[in-house]
This record gives sequence, structure tokens and C-alpha cells, in this order.
Amino acid sequence: MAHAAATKRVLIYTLYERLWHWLQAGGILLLLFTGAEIHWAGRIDVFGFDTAVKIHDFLAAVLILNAFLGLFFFVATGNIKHYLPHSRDYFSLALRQGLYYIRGIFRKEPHPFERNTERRLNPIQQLTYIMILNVLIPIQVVTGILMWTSTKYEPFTTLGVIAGLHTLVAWVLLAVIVVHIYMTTTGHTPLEHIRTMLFGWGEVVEVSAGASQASKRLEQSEPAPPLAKTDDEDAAHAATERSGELDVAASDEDAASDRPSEPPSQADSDEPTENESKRKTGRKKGSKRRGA
Amino acid sequence: MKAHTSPFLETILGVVSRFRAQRLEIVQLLLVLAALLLLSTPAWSQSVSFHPDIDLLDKEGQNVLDSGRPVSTVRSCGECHDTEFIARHSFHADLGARSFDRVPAGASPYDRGSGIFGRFDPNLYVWFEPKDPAAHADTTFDDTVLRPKTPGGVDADELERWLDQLGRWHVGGGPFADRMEPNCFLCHLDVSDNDARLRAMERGQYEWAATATLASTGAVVDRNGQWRYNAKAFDPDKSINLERVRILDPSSRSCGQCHGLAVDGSEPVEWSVGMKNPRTELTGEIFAAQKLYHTRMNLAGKRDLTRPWDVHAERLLDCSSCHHSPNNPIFARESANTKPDHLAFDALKLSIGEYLRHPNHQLVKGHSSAQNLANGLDGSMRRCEDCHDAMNEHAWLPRKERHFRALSCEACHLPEMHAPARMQTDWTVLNQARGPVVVYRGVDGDPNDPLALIKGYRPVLLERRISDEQRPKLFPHNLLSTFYWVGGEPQQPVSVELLAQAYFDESGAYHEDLRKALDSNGDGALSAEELRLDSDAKTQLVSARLQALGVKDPHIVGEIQPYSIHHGAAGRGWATRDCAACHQQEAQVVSEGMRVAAYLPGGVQPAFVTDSNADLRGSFQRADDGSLSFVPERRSGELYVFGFSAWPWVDLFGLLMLVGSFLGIMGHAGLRVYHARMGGS
Repeated sequence: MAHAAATKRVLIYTLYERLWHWLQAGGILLLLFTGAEIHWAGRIDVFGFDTAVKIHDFLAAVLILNAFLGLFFFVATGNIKHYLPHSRDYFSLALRQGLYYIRGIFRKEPHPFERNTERRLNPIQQLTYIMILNVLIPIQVVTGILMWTSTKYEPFTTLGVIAGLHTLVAWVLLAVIVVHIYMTTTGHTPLEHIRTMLFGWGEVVEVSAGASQASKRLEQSEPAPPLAKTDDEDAAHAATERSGELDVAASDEDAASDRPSEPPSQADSDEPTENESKRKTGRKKGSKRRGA
Repeated sequence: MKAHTSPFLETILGVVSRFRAQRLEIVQLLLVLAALLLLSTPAWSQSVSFHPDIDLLDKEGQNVLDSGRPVSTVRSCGECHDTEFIARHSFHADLGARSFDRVPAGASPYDRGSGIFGRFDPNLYVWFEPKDPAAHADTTFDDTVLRPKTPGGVDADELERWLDQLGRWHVGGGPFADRMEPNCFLCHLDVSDNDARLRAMERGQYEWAATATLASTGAVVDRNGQWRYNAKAFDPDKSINLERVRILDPSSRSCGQCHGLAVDGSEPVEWSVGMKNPRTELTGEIFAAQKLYHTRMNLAGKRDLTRPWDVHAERLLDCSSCHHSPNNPIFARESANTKPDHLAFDALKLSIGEYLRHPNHQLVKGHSSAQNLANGLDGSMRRCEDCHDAMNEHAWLPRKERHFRALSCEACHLPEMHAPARMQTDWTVLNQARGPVVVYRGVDGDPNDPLALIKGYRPVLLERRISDEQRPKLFPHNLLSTFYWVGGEPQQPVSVELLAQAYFDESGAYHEDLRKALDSNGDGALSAEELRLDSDAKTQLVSARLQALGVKDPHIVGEIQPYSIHHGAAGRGWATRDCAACHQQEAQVVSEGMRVAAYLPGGVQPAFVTDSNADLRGSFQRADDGSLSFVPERRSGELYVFGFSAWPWVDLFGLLMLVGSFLGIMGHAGLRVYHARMGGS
């Protein structure tokens, strides 16, 4: 793998974030399963229709509550920034990430946007979560509440339309989850992302003086340079791949020239930001743990 | 040593020894007393009649004992009750005459009104021929006296034919007030003699119909076809002896004389073939308090059927408990349309005296999917939820409000009918009795055979939007198909008389060519299974005969009428309460279709009637044995049933998306592995 740039282990996800994530993950999976049992009652018969409905309703309420707690946490800690696109050339950066998934990943090119404590999500992930959190989940919540309250109140349209929409979005969420799980294998190692979400610690690229301009643009909202590489660069890369001689040095060169990676670190700014301070704290704690 | 006993003890011992000697006689005496007590107070006649003595008067106001003429109920009962008011406010007397020639929307082309009088019912196969429009225009019935103003649009012989064929279901008055006064005794006499009444009508003695109804009291006797009064049954003052004639509110038995099998006595429930009990014939509804296992009928699994035929009958309710007079102060409920807004309860009610003087006979009714009579009264009746606190009764049921909005009470409390019901009436052929071939559901073998096993049937649940509610509810129904020949210009059903000429020769035997064509087993006789036009050749043969008789363009039509089912309710232990009955993919209760025809005469597929308030969306399925079934559309209908309903395209789209995701992932991961191997890492 082409991740030979200097990395370090830092605490990326706090305990609350991890618990929040896994509660949501387990809850959504169980919601999908009980939803399937309700939808195909009789053909799937694990809990029984009546119990499946009760579990589904209860989990939905728990996850909605958890979602609001999470929203409060992300807003209060400022971590909501991870989900918000910063750059004005966001779409060209997203395109760059897309091209990486389509092409670069096979050529062992480095990640266009290395994950770090300041920026956990690349532009495509941001777009995906914006769609999930602002469109799909709200549709599920609203249609679910309409079905739940249809006991007492007639919904604005037929129950069939509401249930149909709820089922459709459930299918989309299922597909998204499948892709999401697969995408966790696209880290430096196949299990790296999952390990990070389990234990909190992850490998991030060391900040260097030559930190990518793309990364800076993400932080500073500068316009992006043209995405296309020069013909020479592509030819050299292809030749390297053919020869199977992709070495660490070449990869590091790519990283230095092409790969956005670290957010501004202490080396880039005169004064440590609040997040920088947190990161330091994290490192310190991490060092202690490793020592332990 | 001789034991010493006290005089008191000796007395006691003496009584005991005398009892031992005479105990047989004492037991016998007690048994006789018990029998007398039982005989003197039959269980079904607990009601008390406070009705005063009646002078039975004829039309001239003379006592019938003096005149010997038929009783005039208008004069006799009119002494105290406003009989004209009653006749004007009774759809039983009117039967649709008032709306004659005001055909409701969606009616069949052979209808000339709503109700039995004017509406074509293919089961009864009686209708009024359309007349010349000029004469037609005068065919109205005077609202004041409910009599034909002019006979223009309806010939006298047609009226006669109607009375002959359908008079048994007419209480009198209305369009036939001149011939047959309203028969108060038929409904209000606890021992009304309907057989004697029908006998009088069969003889054409319509004016004697009400009088004949008294036959079971002994006040009138049938002597050689003539009705004679029995003076011994009358009091010395020539009033009727009230020990013999008990005037009461109508009992279930009274209503059952015309509507269906209703047993409120001790005689066993016994189903029989025929339109004598139309509701029972068409739907299998039976209103009786007895347990099913007490019946004489050969019910499948009879020993375990410990429920009553109708739980309300078991609770001693009768028909008039629900179908009461709208101004009866005991039951009266003011309509929301007329109730003052500021009052939740209007204490201003009719007094009993006022009510008895002017009892409104427009009895309250519910919503039926088959009847168009007195539609204005639809929903005037209390429904189940008006008496039962369903929310408390169904503590076990989740999402009660939702269930109650989607399901009628009948949907769960009438899960199964235990009597046969008509499935198909085929008037394209005639049996030897000049009647249609009828196919029943819920019985194995010939329904006339008392040994035929009666299995009953599960009604089909159809959505019906009853007028005072916005959402449709599922109600149980029986679907009945009828087939008949039509022809002529304008098209009319072919009369039984013409059909009989087409089928029978002068001796009453089937025409030889027809017999040969229909006699598939060659035994020389035509069984019910052979009497069917199940090939083009047979159909053409009958068609040619009808054309020869002057019928233009004869062809077969078929229609399907849904009959909603409301009587015969089961109590809680017998009602549907399993979630999986509806909430699963293979839920039979909601998905199961219903066979509507055992065969298709002339290959004609029947169509649903157009004036039903049931949701008839669905599909027809033809089985290999030639039968036709209807399967209601409910997977994606307005009534969404979780676990059963679904939008197929949603699942297809979702599945394709999921499969696409997996394929994409596999491709992507495969390329990654491939490139990694190629790269040597």
C-alpha cells in the first residue's frame, strides 16, 4: 500500500463518538431486519410480527433520541465541521476523490485527502452523510412517525404511499450501508477504519512542511488547481506500476506533490488552535496508553 | 334392653318412613308440576303484551263476526293507531313503489326503480317491461295514498305477476293497498300464521291475507278454501280474545318469515334450499340463539361447534333491538343533522302515547351492499360500536384505533359462515321445476340431501366505504353470480315462459335435440351437472330455439352481486384474533379470493354490478375445472395491511439497487485485489 508517508497514531474518535456510532449501526441494522420481518411477515419469522413491530418502534425512538444527542454533541464540540463542506471548490475536490476510487486506488495512488483529527471525511463522504442525515433519515423519521400516529390521526395521504416511501428509503439505506462497510476497507489496511471506529486510535499522516495544498484549500476554502496530471506524471506512474517497482520513495514523492493530507499543524500556523491543543492532548493520552 | 325413643323422634321417623313409601308418587308429582310450568311459559314468549282488546272490523267498520268479511287492519288497528301515517312511513309497505321509474345511478338497464318493486333481481327473475315513453310518463304512484295513479307504464297483468311471484315478501299496502291492506298481524302477532297467509295469496285471496295470518289463533279457519271465523275464539263482546292473540313488538321470528332463517323458539335450526329465506339463501346468515351443535344440519365438525348461531340472539336480542322504529322513545337517537348544536342530549322526546299513535315504520337500517331500498335511511341504525365499548373489549389488540378504522366488527366476528350460500344462479337453463340451476358454496353434494356435509365457507373481505365515514373498511361478503338470456329491442331478460317454450315440449319434457345435446352421460335424464351450456354447440342450440320464438339477438349475460354479511356474529372466543391471519404474506383472510362461478354458461365471463358500494377492484382467475374466482386487489390498495401489502416496484427497485451495490463492490474489490497482485504487494 502506498502509505509510506510518516504516520502517527492519534485518537480520532472519542469513546462517546464510538458508542454513538455503534449504537446507531446496531440499531439501524436491527431496524432494517425487523422492518423486513414486518414487510415480509411470515416469510421472515424470527421475532414474530407483533414483537417485531414493538422492537421496530422502540428502536426507532431510541435512535431518534440518539440522533438528537449526537447532534447536540457534534454542535457543542464543533465536530459538526467534519460533516460540512468547507471549500468553495468542493465539487472539484469531490471529483478528485471520485477519480481516486475509480482509478487511483487501483494504481496505488495515495489518498487524495488523508484522514486526520481535523478532517475525518473526504468530500464524497461528506456528500453522502449530508444526503443520509438530511434527506434519507428525515424521510424515514417522518414516514415512520406518520405510520405510528396513523393509529390516531389520518395521514395526509394513504398509508400505502407512506409505507411505500418508508420501504423505498429503507432499501436505499441498506445499499448505502453495504457500500459504507465496503468503503471501510479502503484505508491504509482493510481493517484500519473499522479498528479505528472500534478503538478510537488511527494512523494519520504526519504533518510536514510540504503539506498538500489541497488540504490547505479544504481548510482555507481556496480555489483548487487543475486536477489533471501532466502526461509525464501519468506515464511515469504507469511505468512504475507495470514494473512493479513502486517504492516508498516514489510514493512519498507522489504524496508530496499530489496528495492533500494534513490540516494546518503547529508547523503551519504561529499559534495553536483549540483543536490543535486537543490533538496534542490526544497524543499525550495515546502515548500514555501505548506506554501502558 | 328395649331402647326408649321420644315422641318427637317417633314423629320424624314416621314422616321419613311415609316419604320412603310414597316417594315415587311425590317425584312423579314434582315432574308433572315442572312440565306444566315449562309448557305454560315457553322460553321465547317471555314478552308481556299490554295490548287492549281488539274489535276486528271489516272495511265498512262492521265487526267481522257479523259481516264475515276480511279483517281490515286499517279500520281495526286504525281505531288507536294512525294507520295511514304508518303506511306512509313504512318502506316495508312501499318496497320502492314511491321511487318507481326514478332509477338510481348505476342501476341495471332492466331496473325501473329501487327496492323489490321495480328493481330487477336476477335471483327472483321478476321485472317490469319498459313501456312506450308517452305512457311511461304517467307511471307514477301517488305519494299520498301510495296507489298507482295511472296504470300507464305497468300493465295490470304485470302487477298481478309481481304479486304472484313476490307477494310473499310484501306486507301489504303500498302499490297494492287496494287489494291487500298492510298486514299488521304478520309482524306484531306472536303466533302469526305465515303459511296460512301464503295459502290465501296463492289462491288469489289477497284481501284475506291479513285475516288468514290469524289462523294459528283459531279465530279464523280454512274451510275448503274459504275463510270462516270461529266465534268461540272471540269474547262475548265480539272482541278478540287476547289470550289467543298476543300483540307484541315484532320478534326475530316475525322478521324471519320474510328475511331469513331466524329461530327464537326451541325447534332446531334447519337450513333448507330456496328463496323462502332469502338472506340465508344468499349469504348463509342464520339468526338463532342455539348452539351450532344442536342443529339437525349435517355440519362438519359439529361436535366442536359450541358457539351459538348468533351471539346477539343468544343474549336475547331480536331484530327490532337494532332495526327499531326511529321515533321509538326507548331507542330514539336524533340525527346529527337535526339535533340542535348546543345540545348533547335532547330531552324532548315523544311520549309513549304519541309514539303508539304514530309509530314510524321506516325502520332504521345499516348499509347493505346489495339493497337499494330506502337508501335515505342508510346508516340510521346503531352499529356495533354504538353499543359495545370496543376499546375496552379489545385490550389485547395493539393499535386499536387503526384496526377499528380499517376493519368492520363483522370482518373478525364473522370469520366463517356455517350454512351453505348461493354461489351461482343459472337462468340460461331451466330445471324440470321451471327454475334455474343453482350452485351452492359450503356444502359437499346435493344441498337438498340432508346427509350432504355442510362445511360452510369463509366470506371474502371487500372494502366498503359507508357513507358517514371517509375511510373504507373491510366487510365480509358473499359473491353471487347470475347468468340469464337477454334479447329483443331494447334488450330485456328472456322471460321464464319463453325459456320454458325453448326447453320443453308440450308434454313438459325437454325437447329431444336439447336433451341429447345436454345428456352427456347418455342415461336419458338430465342431472344438475348436465344442465349447463358449457359448449358453443349447446349455447347455439338454445339461442336458435329462442330466435325461433321471436327473440332478437338472444345472448347470455352474467353479473356478480356482492352481498354483505352482518348477522350470525361470533363471540370473542370464535372471532379472528391472530395477527398472522392478516399480517403475513400468505394471509388468507385478506388475500383469499372467492369462487364466483362453478362454470361459465356460454363461456360468458360475468361482470360486477355497477351499483354496489363495495370496492370491487381485483382480478378474475379461471381454474382448470372451468370455475371462475375473484381475487380482490389488496397488495397495493388503499387499505394497506402491514406484512401483506407492498408496492412490488419498490421491492424490485430496492433489490436491484442492492444487487447492483454488491456487484459494484465485488468488481471494485476484485480489481483492487488484481492490481495488488499485479503490483506484487
